[in-house]
Amino acid sequence: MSRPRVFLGALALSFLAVGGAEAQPRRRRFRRTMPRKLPTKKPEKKKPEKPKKPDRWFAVHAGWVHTVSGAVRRDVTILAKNGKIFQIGQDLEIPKKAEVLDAKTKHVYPGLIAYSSYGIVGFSPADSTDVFGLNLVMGLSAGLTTVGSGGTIAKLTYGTLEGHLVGRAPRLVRISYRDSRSKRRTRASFEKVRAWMREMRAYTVKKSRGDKEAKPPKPLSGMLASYHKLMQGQGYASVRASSTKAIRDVAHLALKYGFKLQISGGTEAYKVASLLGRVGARVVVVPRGRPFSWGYRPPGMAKLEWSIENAAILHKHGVQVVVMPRQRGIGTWGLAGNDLFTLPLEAAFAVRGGLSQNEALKTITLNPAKFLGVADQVGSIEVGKDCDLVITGGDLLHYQTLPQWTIVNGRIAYDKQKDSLLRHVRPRDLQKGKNLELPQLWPRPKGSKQPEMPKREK
Amino acid sequence: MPKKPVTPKKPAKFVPPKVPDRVKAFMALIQKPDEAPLILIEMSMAHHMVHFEDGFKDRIKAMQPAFYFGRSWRGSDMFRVVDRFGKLQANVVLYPELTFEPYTRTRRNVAADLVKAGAKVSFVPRFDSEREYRSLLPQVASLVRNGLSREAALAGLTKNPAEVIGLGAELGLIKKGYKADLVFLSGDPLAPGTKVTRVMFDGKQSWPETKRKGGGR
Repeated sequence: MSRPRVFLGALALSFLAVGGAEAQPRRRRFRRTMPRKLPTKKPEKKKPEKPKKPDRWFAVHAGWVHTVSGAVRRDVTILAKNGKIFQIGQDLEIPKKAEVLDAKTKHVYPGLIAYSSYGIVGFSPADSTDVFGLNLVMGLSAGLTTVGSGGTIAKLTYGTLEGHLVGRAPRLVRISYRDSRSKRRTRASFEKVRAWMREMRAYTVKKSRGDKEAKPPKPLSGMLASYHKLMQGQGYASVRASSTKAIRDVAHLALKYGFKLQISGGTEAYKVASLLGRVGARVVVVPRGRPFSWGYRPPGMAKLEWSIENAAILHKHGVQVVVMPRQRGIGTWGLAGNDLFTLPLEAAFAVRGGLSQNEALKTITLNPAKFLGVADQVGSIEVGKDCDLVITGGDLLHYQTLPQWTIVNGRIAYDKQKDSLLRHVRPRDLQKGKNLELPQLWPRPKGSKQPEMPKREK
Repeated sequence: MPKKPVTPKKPAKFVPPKVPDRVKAFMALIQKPDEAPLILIEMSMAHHMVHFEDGFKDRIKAMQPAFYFGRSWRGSDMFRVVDRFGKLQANVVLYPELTFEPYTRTRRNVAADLVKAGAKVSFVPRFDSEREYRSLLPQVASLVRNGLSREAALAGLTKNPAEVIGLGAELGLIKKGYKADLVFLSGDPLAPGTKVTRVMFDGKQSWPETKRKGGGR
């Protein structure tokens, strides 16, 4: 006798669903004969029109354009509108008010991206970046255009705060998996989450069968909630692991619980490259060996066998690699070549280890953009992406190459001949007296008129 | 069975939080920039001005602040943003010194750069000591020798500082209606060797002292 009741109940529901709260004329079931009353549009209030800012155009005539995501294009023009790449091609129509840069004999690369840094943009970039700061200028002179700093991603916009902030870096779930205690704890937490997911599934099944006494399990909170998100495939887990055993163990953990893994350190990652490839891991490596800069190895820490072929082997097995130097800042202390001032050199060492040229470029442009979650905006030269370019006279990964111009958001942020830092090193278009434009006030330049002195009264 | 429509609770009447006294001045600054009191903003690096403009945007012109290039300024890069002060036609209080471009030995006359960009300068000595006050005029004279216009230099010692402290209608000019606070010099104020011969306050000579009434020797 429950069936007719259920049937009537369904009918009643359908009538109510169709009829709703309004009084509507009776109509045949499942067929609409009366047109539904459409909601009338309110007349839009006219907002006072703001004066439109004129578009800002910027064009670069380039000899070689290394798009990184695609082919190398020869003899093309990159046209940027309001800081974003508008067109790439030959014989483009360039607006009259555009700022044009002639780099017909030069190579153009996408602006370099540092996955993490300190001291270049301010601690809280919106409030404290020194947009004229020395570290910023040195970063630009090395080709850096975007850096991740703390949890924020910012651009090296010299002299202006327009377009400085890009966004927040995606939150990574830190997993501690080093010693036996932390391993036990982490495994226990994942097991807890798995048990909770089983309970949740059981409850869902019971509810769909009509069991009214089914109770959902208590919602997860804190660390367990973030582990749950990981196991659902959202976001990456970040682990510091350098030795083979540590990397292997954490990779097996990722396989078992199905989360995405990002490893930093990764000195011996090449030994378990195939496993990492199967896991779909991402690695932030230092091509030249140990990730920390001090020479002292604490007792008990295993001696790590680093290899220059680390990045190359990882890439061969399908692992996404980001190259970082040992020091994440820019400084003139200690040994040169250890910090972000020589980021292309780090990628060159990866090439030395067997990585291809374009892949090495990717490790300092497109891959850091992907890791930071801004690959739709920066990282390669494509229409629609930001106009962040590095223009060099030769191969960027050559040790003698110094960027000639660095363009951020369609503005020339660094010009090697105008900035005082490196203009004396292999000056561009060397002509006598033309390149060294120093605004000289003291001592007064030869030939300038002496200002009139007040005469002393006798 | 359909659920009974739940009438949403009417939100309680919004009671704005009480504004602490120390914040009231800033609130007035943001809400009513035209009625702002005299404002002096201290900054020492060029990026301070960039951040300030980014934060306050259009309100700055209504606020009409004066700027003070404060303490750690000898090697600062303030000259990089003089055009922003020029656009605001701002009054900039600074020390009458030639500075260096950061990390270099290239001299920079920031006062001259500011005046050329359209701003006004007011000079203050670095310290509140007799020695600094004695060297004020010679220091300003050295700025004039290095590119600052004479008119701007003299205005920076008289008219502009009066405007900064809000007494621009009474002090700073020799004009009808202004206070008779005058200084008499033996020659051109910017020439070396010029001495002060007389000082007058409110029309009465205060230095050198005239005969005292009663008492004394």
